[in-house]
Amino acid sequence: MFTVALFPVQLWAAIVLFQEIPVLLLRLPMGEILGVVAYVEAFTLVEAGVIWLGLLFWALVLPGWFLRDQFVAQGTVMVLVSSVWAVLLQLNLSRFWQLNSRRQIAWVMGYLISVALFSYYVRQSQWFAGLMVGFVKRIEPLAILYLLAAILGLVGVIIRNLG
Amino acid sequence: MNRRDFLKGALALGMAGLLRPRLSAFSTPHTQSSDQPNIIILVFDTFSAYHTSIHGYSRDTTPHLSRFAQQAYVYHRHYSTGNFTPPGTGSLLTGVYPWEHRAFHINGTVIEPYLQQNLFTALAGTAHKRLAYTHNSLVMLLLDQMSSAIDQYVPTRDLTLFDDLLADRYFGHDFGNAFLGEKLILPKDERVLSSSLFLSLFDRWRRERRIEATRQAYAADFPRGTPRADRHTRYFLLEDAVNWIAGYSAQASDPYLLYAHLYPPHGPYNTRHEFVNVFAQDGYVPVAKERSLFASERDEVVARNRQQYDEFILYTDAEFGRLIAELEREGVLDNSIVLVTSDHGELFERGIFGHITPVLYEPLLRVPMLLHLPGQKERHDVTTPTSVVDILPSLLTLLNQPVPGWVRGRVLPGLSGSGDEGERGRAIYALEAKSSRKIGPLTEATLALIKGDYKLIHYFGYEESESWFELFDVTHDPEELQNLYAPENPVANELRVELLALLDQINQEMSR
Repeated sequence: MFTVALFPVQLWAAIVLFQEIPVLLLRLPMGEILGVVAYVEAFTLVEAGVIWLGLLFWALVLPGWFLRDQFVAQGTVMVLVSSVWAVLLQLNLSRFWQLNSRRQIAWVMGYLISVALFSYYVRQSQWFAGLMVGFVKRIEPLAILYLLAAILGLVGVIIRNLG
Repeated sequence: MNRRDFLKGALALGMAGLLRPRLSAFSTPHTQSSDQPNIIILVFDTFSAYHTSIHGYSRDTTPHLSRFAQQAYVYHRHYSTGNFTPPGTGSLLTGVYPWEHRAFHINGTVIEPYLQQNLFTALAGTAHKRLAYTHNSLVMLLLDQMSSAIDQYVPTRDLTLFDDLLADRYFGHDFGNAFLGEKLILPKDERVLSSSLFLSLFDRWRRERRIEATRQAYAADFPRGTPRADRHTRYFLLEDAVNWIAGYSAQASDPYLLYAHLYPPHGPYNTRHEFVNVFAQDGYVPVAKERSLFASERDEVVARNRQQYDEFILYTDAEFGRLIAELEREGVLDNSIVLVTSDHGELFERGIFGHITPVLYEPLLRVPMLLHLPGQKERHDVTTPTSVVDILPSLLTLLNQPVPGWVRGRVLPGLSGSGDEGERGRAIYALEAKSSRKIGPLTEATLALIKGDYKLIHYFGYEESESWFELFDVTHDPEELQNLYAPENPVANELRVELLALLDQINQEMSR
């Protein structure tokens, strides 16, 4: 499940990083750029860890039928749906903070309802649950690469701060 | 007493009276163990000389600066080397031009040699304790690079209401990279995408609540919003920094160099309540100027921001006046060099407001420059063009220290004896090159040459047009209304040859 959490986090970080690379190339030598990227990569590890721990927490706290019994499928659908909403929010962040509190709550409700609907569908549809599990298997090789990059980033941050 | 009560009390009782109890903690008279003068460098960020009454602005924006001028050298044509923080500050701290120190990007840093060749290292041979403080993250990057030669680098957050930056708190050994990493992971600018998909949203939510609480707490004193720096990174009161400087100066027993780079009047122009709308109905009409190729704002937006900027200068000036009154009362001015200046100006004309722009007109480059020598009681006005690179060699000369060979600036006119007018025909420069590479020839930039009465500006590499020049007689046409550039104009021709030769030299140096 950790790799499932890491997947959207890393994908998004990579998209944002690639947007910033031209500006960084203008201002910094390659060594310094790698130093900056190390922080971004290390943070993906922290972020994925927080999501993973959150899922574990809810799996322990909630009734078994809700999350624990189909942890991979349910966890995956929760992460993916949350990721879609997070991307939407990131792309509309300025507008979101200008909304009044009722509309902000509507956003949050929309998110919660969509998570609930997809979770319900996973429970009801063997096909959809299988699709989620299959998805996890497919991203595993990629996620290992992501994990490696994040660990390298963390090591880089630690080394740079030892001095 | 909470901070709001403190502010209200201060306004009611008068700031000088207010400070007295605070400073009484340092009740011993101000005496020093050395005959070396202190050096207090006050850099007010984004302070345009064009907008100060002391340099001729028709709005009375700087009454306290004018009072201070009665005991100072006033340099009326003092130029920064760039139109935003890193180039100007880099030059002030190193005594060299931006193409040499290379801090000419946003978040720019100086190159390796200047970690050991700067104001703080240059004073290593004196008895001065070297202190630095800034509100501005871009200056933090530069001071962090030079921190090995700073005896006391006061953490920015110590004099703020709150400071959200994590890089300095947790990654001090690698501040530069951590700072840039943090700007990607948890940006404080709502227009910038965060690389953190989830946690940045929680960070934003937490910050919004904190910002709102701060806004409400200070709404009466700062109705336009609490002063803040670097988008929403930190909120502060200038009063706190002023109190700290006054407090330190009053109790210091050994000579010191105090470099304080304070954020106001940099935008947002959140002035204190007594200055709000002071200039709203004053009938001021700005000089009409042609819209620039780089114009992006409507005239009414520019005019509104100009008024708010001028009102923010009033707040800055009032706090400066309070500081000087304290230094005077404690006798600090008798044995201190006090230098007041800025890193760059601000522009409100030609459809442009702010300072992130390719243009290099006078309001962006010309900054206030006042220099008080120990015990000085009379005013000296200097109209010879001077540059921010002159500050380092001037201070060293005043301390009888040798000026290192790498310094490009000269000793400021007036300091080497009576009748010293300086060299009017000397060339000084400014560069805007944030779209060019740090290492490599300049590809898209603006370079200005100021010499005698004239200023030649060369724009090149912009998509608006391939390359063009502007020439102004800034002595007789200070508003830069009449572009005198023409190939057949001998002045234009002479300056163009000189500027292009310099550009060749810069490109060769930058390619190394």
